[in-house]
Amino acid sequence: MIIELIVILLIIFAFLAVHFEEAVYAIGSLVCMLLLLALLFALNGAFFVAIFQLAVGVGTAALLFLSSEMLSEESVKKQTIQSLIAAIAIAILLSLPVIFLSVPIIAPSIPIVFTFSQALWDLRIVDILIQGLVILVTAVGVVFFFHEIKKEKGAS
Amino acid sequence: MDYLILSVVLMGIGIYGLLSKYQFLKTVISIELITNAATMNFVLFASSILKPLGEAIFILAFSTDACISAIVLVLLVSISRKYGTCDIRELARLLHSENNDHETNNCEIIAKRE
Repeated sequence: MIIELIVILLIIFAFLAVHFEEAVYAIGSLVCMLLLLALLFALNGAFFVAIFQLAVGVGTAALLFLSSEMLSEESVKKQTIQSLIAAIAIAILLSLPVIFLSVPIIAPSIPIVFTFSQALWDLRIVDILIQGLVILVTAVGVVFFFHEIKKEKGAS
Repeated sequence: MDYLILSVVLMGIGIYGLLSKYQFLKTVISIELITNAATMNFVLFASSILKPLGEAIFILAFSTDACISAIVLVLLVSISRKYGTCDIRELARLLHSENNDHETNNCEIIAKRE
């Protein structure tokens, strides 16, 4: 019952994150969705993932809040309570198939016995590749950013 | 209850946001929703069959996703500072007019040289 309630709330907050015109409310809804997702992971026994989701979610939320202050436009049209209620109703309707339908999944018959740490160790090459990719993308972003600043200074 | 359908619903909401909203931040939020919907499957499938490989993949995928969103936000702030708008349609129009200006300038320079 608790999991079903969490799923309904998760879909409502996900829909509101897209529906709200005001950036701060939209990000608030996204943060609530991330928290509920972490709770869902914890209830399914994935505690490491829940903690990781919380830690990264807090960082993402802080970043999004800061950028929303910089990017938000003043001329945002006000949303009525009717539209909010309609959005919540649509989200509840969307959550009904999740609760009442199910897709049969065939689990692989080969028994794989790992621990979490062993799985992380086995995936270390993927980890290194991904970290390399992240550092490369960060470097490209920083170079692009400083290039733009230099160009602006040159123009002025 | 099925987490696969939850993932599909979340992805559908994200795609709806991508298609219907024209603000930068909404686009980032929609992309976050889509990536969360995709990576959620790893964890929930893995925990349903008691194999932690999916959790390990989730941690790798989610850290990459967080870095990418940070970089996208930096680029968005830089672009919105430069052009003074957060609307994607407006930006596309501005970029189009800027390109047209460059082309006319180039044509004028070539004409002067000739």
